[in-house]
Amino acid sequence: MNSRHLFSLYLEPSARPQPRYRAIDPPRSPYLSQVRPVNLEPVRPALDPEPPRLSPASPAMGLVEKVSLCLMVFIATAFGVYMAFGAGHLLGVRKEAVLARDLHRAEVELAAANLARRDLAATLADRLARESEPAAVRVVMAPVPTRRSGSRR
Amino acid sequence: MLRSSQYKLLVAITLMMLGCFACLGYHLYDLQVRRHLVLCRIANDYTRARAQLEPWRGEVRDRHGVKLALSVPEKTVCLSLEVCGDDTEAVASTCAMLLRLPCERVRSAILFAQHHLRPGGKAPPQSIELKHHVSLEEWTAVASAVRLESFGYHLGKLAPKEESKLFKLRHHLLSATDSQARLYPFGETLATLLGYCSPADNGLGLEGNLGLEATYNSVLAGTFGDYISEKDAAGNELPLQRSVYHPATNGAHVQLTIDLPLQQMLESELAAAVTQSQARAGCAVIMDPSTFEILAMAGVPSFDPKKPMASQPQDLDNQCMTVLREPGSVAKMFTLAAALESKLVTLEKSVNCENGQCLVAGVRVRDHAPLGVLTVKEAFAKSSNIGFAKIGAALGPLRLYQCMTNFGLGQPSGIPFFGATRGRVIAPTNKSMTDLTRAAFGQGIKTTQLQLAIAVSVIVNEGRLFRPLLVRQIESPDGKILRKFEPQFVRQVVSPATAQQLREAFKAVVASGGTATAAASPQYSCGVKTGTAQKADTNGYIVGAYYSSVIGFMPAEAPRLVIAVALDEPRNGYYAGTVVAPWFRAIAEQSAALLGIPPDKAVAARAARARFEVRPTPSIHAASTSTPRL
Repeated sequence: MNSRHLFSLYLEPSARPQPRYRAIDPPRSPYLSQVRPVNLEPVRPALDPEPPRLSPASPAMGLVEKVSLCLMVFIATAFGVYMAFGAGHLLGVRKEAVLARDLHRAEVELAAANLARRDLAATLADRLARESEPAAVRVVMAPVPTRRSGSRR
Repeated sequence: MLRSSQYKLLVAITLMMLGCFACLGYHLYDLQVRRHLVLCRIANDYTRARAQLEPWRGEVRDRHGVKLALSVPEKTVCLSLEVCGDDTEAVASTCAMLLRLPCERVRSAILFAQHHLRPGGKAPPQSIELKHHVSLEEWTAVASAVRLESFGYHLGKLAPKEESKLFKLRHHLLSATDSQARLYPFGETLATLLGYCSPADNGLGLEGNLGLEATYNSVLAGTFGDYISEKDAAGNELPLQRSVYHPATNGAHVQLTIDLPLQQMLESELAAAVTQSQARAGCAVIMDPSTFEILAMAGVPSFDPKKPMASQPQDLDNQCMTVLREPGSVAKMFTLAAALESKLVTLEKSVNCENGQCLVAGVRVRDHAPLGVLTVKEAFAKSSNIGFAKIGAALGPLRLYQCMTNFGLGQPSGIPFFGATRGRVIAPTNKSMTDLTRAAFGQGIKTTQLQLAIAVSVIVNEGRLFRPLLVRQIESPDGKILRKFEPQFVRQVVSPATAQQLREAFKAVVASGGTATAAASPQYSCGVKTGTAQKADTNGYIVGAYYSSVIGFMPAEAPRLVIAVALDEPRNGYYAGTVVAPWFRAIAEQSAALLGIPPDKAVAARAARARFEVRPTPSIHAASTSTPRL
């Protein structure tokens, strides 16, 4: 059983296998019967270092594929942006936490320094008061006479 | 087609799921609607930090910038009951040793808090206050010492749990909250003027209760701040999460016109005067008559501003501004001023002072001695009641009343002060002839010593009344002057000519034959008026109780100071000329020396200059600013 007979096992009985190659009907080549313009481009030498690139023909995209592609790109972009924002937010929160901790520490230290300064000022004022003497000058202290009879108002 | 069993199963599952959703819905309703407020409050308690920021109370300073009252930081040590746990004995003994408290007291406080103290009938408090008024230095020492304590654990062999417990005890058992206390570095000096502070009713900050602390409380106290923020698990506030933040504004500083060295001298002399004369109380004022600034104001008895409650209530009074007394013969200056201003008399006009007693307008008036016919000036110098009762009767009630009120009697002195009184002068419509006769020599009217000092300042200042000053300026905490008080002219009370005649009359009192020869100084000339008033109560005048005062100015020709000294119920003599005048002289001489006023008596000037020796008090003057001294 050759390959031609294999088709008959899978196809309906009415289906007949077609011959693989057709017989060439026109006896002459087309370029002999029809005048066509000749490609006048210069012939590339065989030793040209860059061989000509032949781009493969891309199949045309349908509407569904285009919409799907746009949607996927949009989702991917949105996801990426969302992730970027999330990462940025996380970084921001971490930075903020560090700043808050530093600020809190700085505030506590400032308050402690202020208290220490005020305590020092109070100590100085207290010492100043203790070192000062009540009466700086004593010139003459007049004796206080006792009550006399017939004294005047 | 579903079979019956499958259908039943499907229905059962559906019902079960519906039931679950119903439970979930009810739970949501319970959380979000029914208990919403309560849960919000609990959540806020966990996450929200809300506190009031206490402002720092301002300082009170003298005219040279020396601090008379200031706030000092202090701590209140708290003990965490949660950390303490069951280690009551070890914790109590350690804390008692560190804080120098009785061990039994600490132990009973912890046990009481653990087992009996239930605020709101719920769980015991998290911490209790162990000791108040702990200085920063002491707290630092306690905080570092507690980290070395063993709390009864054997440090060599500790299980992990015990290590953790010991760490907690060392680091979280004791904590401290900040507060402020008022410090008066000079103790009782100026206590009756400054007043005192006590913790405010809401437990935050200090509140002035008396004197200038109460009068200027709104200025000194500052403004409370507040914040609403979030806190972390350890309870630390997160400053960047503050939704509301109003910083506290510290209180302003009040600078007085008081000169501290002068004040100290005055208080020292007044205390000596009260002790020596065995008086019940005493007061004295020194004023600058050119600016009406009060340079010193003393009162005896005084009190300790740290322990005001330990004093008698009457000791808290400011004797110069809040205590009213009959002025006695000092009030004759008002009668003389009214009579001179209305041209009723001149200083040389004669007046018959009779023979010691006389009936004037139906009132029996007595003199301390038969004086006979005198000039008005002599009658003033010898303080004749009869002479001035006659002048008052001739003057009429309206003119005497107008003169007294023009001098400021019966009116607010113009100094804002907690408890200041305006005195009492009987209006002419209500004044009978008896009242008028008695008012002419100082009975039936009531004044403060400050009002009398202001009146003498008017006489010295060419008859012009200025608003007296006790506060010089108010400064913001950063040193910016918020308000500066300048002498403010009020009115012309008497003409300059009348004021000049009154000064002559004052000088005659110190001269030979006057009542205050003891006030005369060999170095400085002066003019004074004495007053010995019998004290009165609801039943009339009290026998043997007198209020003796001397008010005057010095030097006589170009007065720089007005000095008023008064003793309440002196026992070692009571006439002002003998009991108070010597102290007036001592105060005048020392004031002049302190303020650098040169002696003006030519005879004694040279000798006095040789004896003069001003010994400055460097510690105080070092702090003084460039303010020129008088």
